[in-house]
Amino acid sequence: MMNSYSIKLEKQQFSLVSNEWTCLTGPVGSGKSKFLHNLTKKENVKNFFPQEKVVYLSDRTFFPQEKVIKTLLMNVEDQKIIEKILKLFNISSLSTLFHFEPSIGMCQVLLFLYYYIQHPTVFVLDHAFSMIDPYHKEKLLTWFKKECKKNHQTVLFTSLEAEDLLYADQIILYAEEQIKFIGTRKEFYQEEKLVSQYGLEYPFDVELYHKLKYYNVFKRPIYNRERMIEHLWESKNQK
Amino acid sequence: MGIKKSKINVFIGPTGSGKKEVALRMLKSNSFLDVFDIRLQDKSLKQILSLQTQSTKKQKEALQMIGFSETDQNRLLKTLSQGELQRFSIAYTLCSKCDSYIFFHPSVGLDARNKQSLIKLFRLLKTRYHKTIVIVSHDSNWIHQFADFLFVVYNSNVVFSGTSYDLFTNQDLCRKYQIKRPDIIEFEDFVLKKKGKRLGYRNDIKDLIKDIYRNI
Repeated sequence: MMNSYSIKLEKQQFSLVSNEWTCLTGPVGSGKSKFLHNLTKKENVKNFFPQEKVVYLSDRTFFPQEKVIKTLLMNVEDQKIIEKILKLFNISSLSTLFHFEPSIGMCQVLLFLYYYIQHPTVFVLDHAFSMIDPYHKEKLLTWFKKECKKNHQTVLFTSLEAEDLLYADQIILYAEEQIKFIGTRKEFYQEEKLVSQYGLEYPFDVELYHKLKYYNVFKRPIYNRERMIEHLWESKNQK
Repeated sequence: MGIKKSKINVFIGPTGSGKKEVALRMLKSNSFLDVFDIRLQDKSLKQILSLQTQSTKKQKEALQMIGFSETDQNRLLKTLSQGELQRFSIAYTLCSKCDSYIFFHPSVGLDARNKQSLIKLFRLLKTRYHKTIVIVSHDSNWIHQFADFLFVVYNSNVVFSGTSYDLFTNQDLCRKYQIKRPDIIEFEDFVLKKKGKRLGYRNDIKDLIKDIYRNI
C-alpha cells in the first residue's frame, strides 16, 4: 500500500493521501465529473494507482437491477454487511426488490453495496450518494468511513452538499477546470473568500462561525457547536 | 390534504418512501422529463424543448430564466453536467402550458448559489404567475427556506401535512419518519437544551445571527 498517489492529469497535479477521504468540490459545471471520469480510464488507473483495485461509481452509473440483486443475494462473505445496510433503509428482504422498480436513491444504495463487496482499495465516487436522504446518508457515510479506516481503503468523492465536507480529510476545490485549493478540512474552513467566490457553502456550524466572527466574539476559530455556545455565553457573562 | 394552489408544496420522506408516486398521484400528472432517459442523450436542448413547445421565444425565455445562454440550446443533453441537467429539466417544465409544475429533487447537483437562484425562481412562479409548485426533495436545509406546505410520505402514504414550522419543530415526528431536521432548527433546540434560552424560529442564518447578537 502506498502512502499517497501522485496524480498528474489535465495539467493538474496533486497527491491523494491513501487511507483517507478526499472531497473534490466546486461550482456547478466546473468539470469535476469529467476530471474523475478521465482519472478512472484504464490507462490512468494503471499509471496513478498501480496494483490497486479501483472502482468508479457515479450518479450516472447504469443500474442493472437483476444482476445487482442476484449478486448481493448470492454473496456469502459480506451478507451481514448487506443485511445491516438494507435494514438501515427499512428493507427486510432483498428478494422483494426483484418485483418493483426501486427509487433512484435506493438504486444508489444497491449499486454502492454491489461495488463495496468487490473489496476495492480505492473508491472514486462521483455524486454517488446524491439521491439518498440526509438522515440515512449520514448513517451510511459514518459507517462507511469507519470501515474504510479499518480496511485501509482510500476514497475520492465529489459532492456539493456542505455537510458532506465533514467526512473529508482533504479537500480539493476545483473550478474553471483547475485546482484552486488543496488542503485539510480545517485549512479549507479558512478559505472563506474562495468559497464565497465560487458560490459554495460551509457546513452549518462553520458558516455560523464565519458570520459571528465579525462581532469580534471569537479570538480563534471554533467550529464545534457546543464549544461555540459555551464561548458565546462566557463572553456574555464577562460583559 | 390536497395540494395547495398557487403555493409551494413539498413532498419529503426517506429514500424509497414513495414520494414521487404519491406526488404524481395527488397532482394527477404523468408528464415530466426524465433527464436520465438514454434516448434523449444525443438530442440537443432545443430538440428536447420542442417536445413541449414549438415557440422559439418561449424556449429562449425558459433557458434564460435558468441561466443558460442562447448558444447553449444547441448543446447535446449528454454534454451537460449534473447541475446543468437539473437546471435544464426546470427549463423543460417551464415550457409547458401547465398551471402546476412538479420538480424531482431539483437541488441535487447544484451549488449553494444555484440553489438560492432556484428559490427565487420558485417564488417568482408563485407570486407573479400564480403557479402551483410541487417539489419532491429531502434537502430539508433547503426546502425549509421557502416551502409553504409540506407532505411527509412514508410507506407510500402521506402521514403528515402542514407548514415547515409544524413539521420541523416536532422532533418526535421527524425522528419517527426519519427526516433530518434543518441545521438551523437543531441549533436553536441545542441552545434551548443547553442554556434554557429560546431563540426565535428562523429559516435564514442571517436572522439567527441577529437573534444570537440580541440575546447573547
